[in-house]
Amino acid sequence: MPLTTQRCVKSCRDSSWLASCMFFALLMGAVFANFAVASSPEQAASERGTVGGAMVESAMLEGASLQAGRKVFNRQCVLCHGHLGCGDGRLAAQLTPRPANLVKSRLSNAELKAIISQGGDAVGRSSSMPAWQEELTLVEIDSLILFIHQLRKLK
Amino acid sequence: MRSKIAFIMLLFTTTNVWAAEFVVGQKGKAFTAKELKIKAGDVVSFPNQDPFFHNVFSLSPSKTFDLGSYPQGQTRKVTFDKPGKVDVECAIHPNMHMTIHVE
Repeated sequence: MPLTTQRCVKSCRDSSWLASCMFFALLMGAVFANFAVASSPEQAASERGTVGGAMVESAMLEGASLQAGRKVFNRQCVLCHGHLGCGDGRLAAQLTPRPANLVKSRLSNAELKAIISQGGDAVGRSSSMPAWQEELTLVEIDSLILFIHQLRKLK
Repeated sequence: MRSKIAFIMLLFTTTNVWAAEFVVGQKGKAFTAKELKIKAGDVVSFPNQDPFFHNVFSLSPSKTFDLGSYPQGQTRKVTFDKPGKVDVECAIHPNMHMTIHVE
């Protein structure tokens, strides 16, 4: 098993400090790379393609960025999905079903956009997942999807 | 006489008889009270007065609850049965906080 995979699996299980540090280092690398590269729309589009492949790039609005996605995730999603996106946030134990493990999730961009925008109820998933379309802009939602793809890389 | 005594004893042993009800709204992405002092057994209702959803919850050891997401016009109630400090938050708006002191 690759080292990164081992780390994420371990962190999802016991949120070890070491795994958190590795995750943080990876994220910071991604953020700085994004900050350095995305200085124009053309460059930003190119950078987005490196995150989740062509499908991600084609679905994203101009202006969406990993940096913005991380900010939204830390503000709105961590409470339920946890700092590493494993579904182990501090509110998770109160919820049935438990929040999704975003590292393991394989929802398409369209499915992610639907559940983030309209909430779980609207797409036949957990009603605990709020509809964020009144709280987040379309660019913020796309940025969040970029960030979820970054989380999946840690699997 | 015996039934009168039983009635008085019932009053003293049933905490809800003396329970008061308080209201803490959610308005302008804030709770309408930052601090609230109540007694054990009291009830607090949390009406949503904003034109968007709120999700009131607490993970405090003395009272853990999650009221779920609900829209404007709806209200949900919580009975605080144990003394302690209860930090109340909104899962949708992370800047929303208030504290209930249960005596």
